Amino acid sequence: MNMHKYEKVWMLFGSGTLLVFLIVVGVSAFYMGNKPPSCAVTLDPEEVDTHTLFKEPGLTQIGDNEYQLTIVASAFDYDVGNDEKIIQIPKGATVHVSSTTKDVIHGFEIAGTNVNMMLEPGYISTYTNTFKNAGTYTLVCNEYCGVGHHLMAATIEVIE
Amino acid sequence: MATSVKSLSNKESKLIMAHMYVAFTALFVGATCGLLQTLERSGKFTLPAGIGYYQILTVHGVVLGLVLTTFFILGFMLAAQSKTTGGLNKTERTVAWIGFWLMLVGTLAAATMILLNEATVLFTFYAPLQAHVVFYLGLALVIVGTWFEGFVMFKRHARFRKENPGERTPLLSYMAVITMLMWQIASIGVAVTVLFQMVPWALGWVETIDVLLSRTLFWYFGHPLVYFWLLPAYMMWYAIMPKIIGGKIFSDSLARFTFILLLLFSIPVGFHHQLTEPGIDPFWKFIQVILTMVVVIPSMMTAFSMFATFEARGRELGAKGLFGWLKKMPWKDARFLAPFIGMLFFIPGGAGGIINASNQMNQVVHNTIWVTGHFHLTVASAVMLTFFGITYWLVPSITGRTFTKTMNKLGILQTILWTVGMLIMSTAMHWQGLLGGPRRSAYSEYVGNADTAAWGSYQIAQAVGGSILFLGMIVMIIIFVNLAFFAPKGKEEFPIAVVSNKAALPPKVFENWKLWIGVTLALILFAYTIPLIDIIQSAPPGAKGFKFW
Amino acid sequence: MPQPQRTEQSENEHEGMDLRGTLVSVTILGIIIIISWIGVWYLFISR
Repeated sequence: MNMHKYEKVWMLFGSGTLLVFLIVVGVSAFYMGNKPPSCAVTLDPEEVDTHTLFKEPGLTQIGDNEYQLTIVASAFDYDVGNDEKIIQIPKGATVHVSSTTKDVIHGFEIAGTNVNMMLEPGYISTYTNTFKNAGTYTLVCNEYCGVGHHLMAATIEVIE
Repeated sequence: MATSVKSLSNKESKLIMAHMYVAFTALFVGATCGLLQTLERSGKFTLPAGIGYYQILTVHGVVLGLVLTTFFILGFMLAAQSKTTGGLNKTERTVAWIGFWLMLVGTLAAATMILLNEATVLFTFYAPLQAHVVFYLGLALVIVGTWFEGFVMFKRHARFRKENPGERTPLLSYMAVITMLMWQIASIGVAVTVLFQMVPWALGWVETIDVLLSRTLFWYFGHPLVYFWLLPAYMMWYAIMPKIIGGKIFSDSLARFTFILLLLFSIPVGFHHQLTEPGIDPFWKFIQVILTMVVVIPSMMTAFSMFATFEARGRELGAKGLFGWLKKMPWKDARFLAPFIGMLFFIPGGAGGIINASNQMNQVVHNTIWVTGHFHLTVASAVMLTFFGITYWLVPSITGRTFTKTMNKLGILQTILWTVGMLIMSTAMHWQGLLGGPRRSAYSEYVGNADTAAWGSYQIAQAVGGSILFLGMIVMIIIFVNLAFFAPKGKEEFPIAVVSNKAALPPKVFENWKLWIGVTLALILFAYTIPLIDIIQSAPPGAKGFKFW
Repeated sequence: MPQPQRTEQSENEHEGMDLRGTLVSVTILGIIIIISWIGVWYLFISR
């Protein structure tokens, strides 16, 4: 099989580009802490309400500008620990988000941020995010979970 | 009165057309649902008769993504293989018909459940949402039916090699074999989760299901599924398009090589659809991301081959300068225009795909409507426009009719409507996705924040695009019905591209099927064994079924 | 009807073909891929 000179040039340029992409995301993931959400901790999906982490959903300060946010999802609700469905976080805070589902798969997407993970029964999903930009962000469910899928939402307010 | 001349035997023509009738019925039903979806999401329209958004969405995905595609693809590949190998014998036809009927019965069973609102689980039917057991059995029957047709294609190719020792096998037959090999190896995954997990669970024989295992088996299948859609379009681009423009196959050997690479690397990559899921080690996610970038390589080669095919032909016709060859292409021939625009759509489609697969970058777009925009560029445009382009000559050539000037004009109109509608709709989807707009969602104002309110105008744009696409679909149905039943009798060419007479025979190793199957399986074992063992061993208690619709 | 086959390794069948337009076209394709990728990477980094 023979390749035209220009095809060899193209394949070199193209493969090289893909290699650069892989190096950039690889270094960012494994050396700068940007791995995709992959929590390995499991729990009994029928015992979410009594689990230590999820007994009392909400925001807790655990250090200087560092917080733990636990939210429990179910069809069709995010239990954020209050009825207003609003969580307030100071700008620049590092937040360890933990969530799970009591029933089917739900999405957990804070629109306009990198917080975007799947909630699967039996698994805890976690992601650590630094909220760099102030604003009002909506937490939405982005995985179909039934007729009320588009009604699942809450507010994350990042304040100066 | 012109004599009707068919390019395949009467019996084969019936077999192929049976597939086409199902495919175009599916197009009509599915695209109508699509229109209703975009109208509902505009916020200005309520679905009639209390029909649910998610029920319509399930019909749309299943009917277009599984029924239209599978039936059209199998019909096209059988026709192309038959034409280039010298026809199917009675056994081969019979087995193909068995496959067709299994697929049709399965389709009707699953469709009935969906229409009865017993399976509003969308095209991916993720557990632990639980549909009626007949839905799962119907899908399984469709898969099994495709295996029968796959075996026909393997058998026919083997028969050609036996009857023509030492000769170059027809490129279209070779490519059909690769496509079905990939499909059969991949569909084992979805068959296992459906038959061994979902059916017993839906019947109540087991109370719970391992959700992560089920999803992993599904996506082991789900990525090669999109290559099952893409490869037949590549078949047309490599082995038919050159004939339509009056040129030659750029490189028969390189074309076969790209298909080998696609077979090897389409399957061990399912994790790039599971990048934001818990329970899967980031190391293995990244390994499969690397393998995903490798599968981009045969598509890069295909891009070069396509441009080169056009340039070579254009220069042969006297074109000068860097891009003079573009002007020499048969723009007024819908059989060229539709697939060519399909190729152009694959440029942003492929670029988006690379972004989607880029490990943590996936968090920017996962489950947003950007993803929907992406696959409307790839399967719904690149692939579908190519299939429309195939229809213009395939249907008349096997029914003994002609592709008239009038139908050609309608074909040009259809291509323009589809292109404009898709550009508007898909662009709006990509942009809304980057703003965080979720996919698979009915109209909502959420909790009234400004970020979600900003999505509204994009959804209106999607309704505009969707409406234009609906018109394009109607035009396509008109063309299909005309070509199948009303077009004047005559003889329509079944274009098969010619290999350059300077071309060497492809390396013998290309037909060493045991080797390629072996490497494919080795790569799958490499990419999946350890994470799968981990998923099974670390599994939490399983999930009960839910019916939230 | 089978084509006449060459049994020995032929000259590079693509030798001498003027494919400048193809090279420019695929390069443009590559640039589109790179620019769109960088765009989304930038979004990821800034969020």
